[in-house]
Amino acid sequence: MRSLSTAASGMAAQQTRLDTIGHNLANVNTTGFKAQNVQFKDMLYAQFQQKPLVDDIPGRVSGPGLSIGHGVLVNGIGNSFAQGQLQSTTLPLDFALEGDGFFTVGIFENGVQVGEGFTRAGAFKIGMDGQDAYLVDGQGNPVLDNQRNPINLTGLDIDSLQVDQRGNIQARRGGVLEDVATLSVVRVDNPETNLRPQGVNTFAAVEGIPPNAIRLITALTPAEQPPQVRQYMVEMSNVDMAKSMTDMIVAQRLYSMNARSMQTADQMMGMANNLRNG
Amino acid sequence: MIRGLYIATSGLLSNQRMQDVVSNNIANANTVGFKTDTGVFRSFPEELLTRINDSQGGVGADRKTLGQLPSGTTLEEVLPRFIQGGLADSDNPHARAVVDGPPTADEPFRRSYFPVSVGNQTMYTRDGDFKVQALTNFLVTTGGDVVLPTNANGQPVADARIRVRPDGQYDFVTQQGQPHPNAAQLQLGVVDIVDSTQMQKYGETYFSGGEVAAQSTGVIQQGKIEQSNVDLAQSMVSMISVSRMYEANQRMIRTLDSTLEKATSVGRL
Repeated sequence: MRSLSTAASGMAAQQTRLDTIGHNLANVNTTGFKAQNVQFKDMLYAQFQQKPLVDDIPGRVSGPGLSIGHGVLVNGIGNSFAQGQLQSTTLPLDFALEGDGFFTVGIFENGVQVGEGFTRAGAFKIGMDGQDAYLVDGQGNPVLDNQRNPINLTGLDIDSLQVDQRGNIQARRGGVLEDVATLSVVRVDNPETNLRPQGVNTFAAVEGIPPNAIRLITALTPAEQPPQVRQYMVEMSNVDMAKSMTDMIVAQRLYSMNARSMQTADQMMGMANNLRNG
Repeated sequence: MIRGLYIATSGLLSNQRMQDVVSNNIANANTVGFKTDTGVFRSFPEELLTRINDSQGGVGADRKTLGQLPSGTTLEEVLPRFIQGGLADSDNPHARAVVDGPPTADEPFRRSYFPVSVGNQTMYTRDGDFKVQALTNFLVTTGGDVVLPTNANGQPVADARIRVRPDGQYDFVTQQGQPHPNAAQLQLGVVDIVDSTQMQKYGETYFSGGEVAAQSTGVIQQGKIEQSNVDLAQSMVSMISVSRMYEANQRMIRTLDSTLEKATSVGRL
């Protein structure tokens, strides 16, 4: 009886969905978090052969053959890159992006840069490397400038640090305002496909995408609406709490519906077993 | 009476299949673009019983009709219900949903679908939760199969692809990514299938087969997806009814069995 495994696939799918909703809800306050969603597909259909004779049966609507499905499968888990709300803060190193784009951070392993990550979580900090102070993200990865170098803040008055909409950083050194660096803010085309999650709130480029799929905002035309950097602001998680709660209730109900159909299949098999006695 | 055993067994088997159909619906209550299945039971053709080898005339002479005897049931066909699923908002910028045109009396199962290229075959889907394929930037389904553009007459164009530009606009190109010669006539559109009941479900919310109509009537809505049209209350009712029918057939077999037992014990003391 395939109904048992069909119901099992439905339960597994709803379980995955609940896991994802739980993950989203847990990150409802995580800066720059991008909600995940699960996509389902129905599985292949078993085609039962029927004689062409069925064409002659009065009242029959469909052509020969009987197809019965095998349940559901989780086709993929995607991220929604919709903009989260901006919240103002009092910290000079809190940056948020308004519009499509990402900050670039260097991913380091054992002191060696192994790649670049893209994040919208702009609650940056100062990280020390020996005597040098660098701008780093929440995980300690250095935030890169538009030359793909770490941003050295040694000796600068952090409270005087200013960032304009294009990501140009200025700060005072001993009372004199100087240009420090320009943040690397990039536009990634089709981030749903071209980026994959890598660790905490950070995404990495999928292998082999064309280099022009990731462009600095300075290369964007005004028509492409480059994102703007906002200082003293962070982007909140884009998880919709009410929707997540509703989804959770639906997922739970569907889970029990699937459990019910499994139970029914089980009862039917029990009846078949008791054909003779009991 | 032995025949009765087989008739009751056919009831067990077809209800078992019906349960498979219902549980598949429930499992896909959340699958975008899924169309719920309904099972259609049908009684086997009735048999005409005649009496032969009559004592009066020998074989074949003077056949007398005794009457008709039913011979059980079968799950004759599984028909998807093509009614429109509810539309839900989606964060996905490439999400699309089809809204069917008004139904006509002579084509009650005319519905609109997105054409998709699966292998070398054109299939049709209602799942418009599209995404952009990495590397090629072609518009694809969540399963990764390319979405085909349609021409001005609502026909799928199998040798064309929809390439998404960085600004979200579409280019119509060949499979190799060159500009398509008829690009000006192409669009992301839907095709109408004249009689949707002639299609076969393939899985992954794809349908195969069916005759493409000369014009399309469906309307595309952007930023929406069509939810599964499974009715959970109805599924629950079907499940209860299937389970009870199964039980009734099982009772029938047991009754027949115990009656047969009486027959085998005739003459035993």
